[in-house]
Amino acid sequence: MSAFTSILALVGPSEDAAPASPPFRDGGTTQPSAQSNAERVSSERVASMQLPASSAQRSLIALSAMIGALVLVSLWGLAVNPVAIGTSLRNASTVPMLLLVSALVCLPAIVVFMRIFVYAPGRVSSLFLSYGLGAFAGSLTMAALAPVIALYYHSSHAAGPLVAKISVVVGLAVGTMIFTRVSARLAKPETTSSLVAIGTRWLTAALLVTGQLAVIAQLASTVDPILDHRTRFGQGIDGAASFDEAKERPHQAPSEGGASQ
Amino acid sequence: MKPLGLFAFAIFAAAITVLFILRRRLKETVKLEEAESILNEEYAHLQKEEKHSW
Repeated sequence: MSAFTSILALVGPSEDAAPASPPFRDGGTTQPSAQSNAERVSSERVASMQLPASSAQRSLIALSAMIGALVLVSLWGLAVNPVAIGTSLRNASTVPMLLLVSALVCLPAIVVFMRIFVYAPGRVSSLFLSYGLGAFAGSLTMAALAPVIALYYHSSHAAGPLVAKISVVVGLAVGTMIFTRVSARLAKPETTSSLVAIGTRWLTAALLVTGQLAVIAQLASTVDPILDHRTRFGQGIDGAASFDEAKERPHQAPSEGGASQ
Repeated sequence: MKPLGLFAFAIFAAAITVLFILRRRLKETVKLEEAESILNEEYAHLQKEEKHSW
């Protein structure tokens, strides 16, 4: 499928490699005489990097990447805590739910932030494409580590959850890196090397990751735990608040039933 | 599972449905854009030929 080959081409590091047949046509290159020099340079750059030219193409690739990401995190959910088939199936539906709903909650705020504060923000469809590809790359990493997680869960009680948490951190790091890389590729040519543009790009990524983690933690507190126990992250804001209260009042006796989950 | 969790699952199901519908629509749009691009190329080619013929 052309959308998925485009996803893999965009996620990859080679910027100058141009395949023989481009996945999408660039509608703007048919009448070069009517274009300004900057537009021509921009369209040539788009063509050489195999970037989707129109908003519909970007949105299509972003949606395909997001669907792929949901399938991949579902595979990761199957591998985590495989004590029973019911638990695995529940995880396989819970983990994509956390990813998609948190994205739906976070992305509008990031779009507003980008429009107001970010220098040379670009198009909204470019942000969606960057986000979709970042989510796809992170999910791909997590799915690739899923067999290792399943092995550790089956062979060790202590190491299984730890390996699962490490895989999430690695997936998050890869996703953030791909998000910023694709954002840089989609940015206007004159702003790709600007220090302010790079800074705001990383700030957008940091805000997106922080906001999405906060939303995932809060959502996770409303559903059954994914790992074999409920972690502090999975308790949402209450977990962090109880941690602070415990630090502030170390001598107070715990309330009845307060240590549940 | 809390009621909010069930609500989140309902949103998830609705969002998945919308994702697939949007994807199908976008596929059609991209095909139309490709066809338009081909037509533009053909038109430019014909115009060039017409100029040469005069």
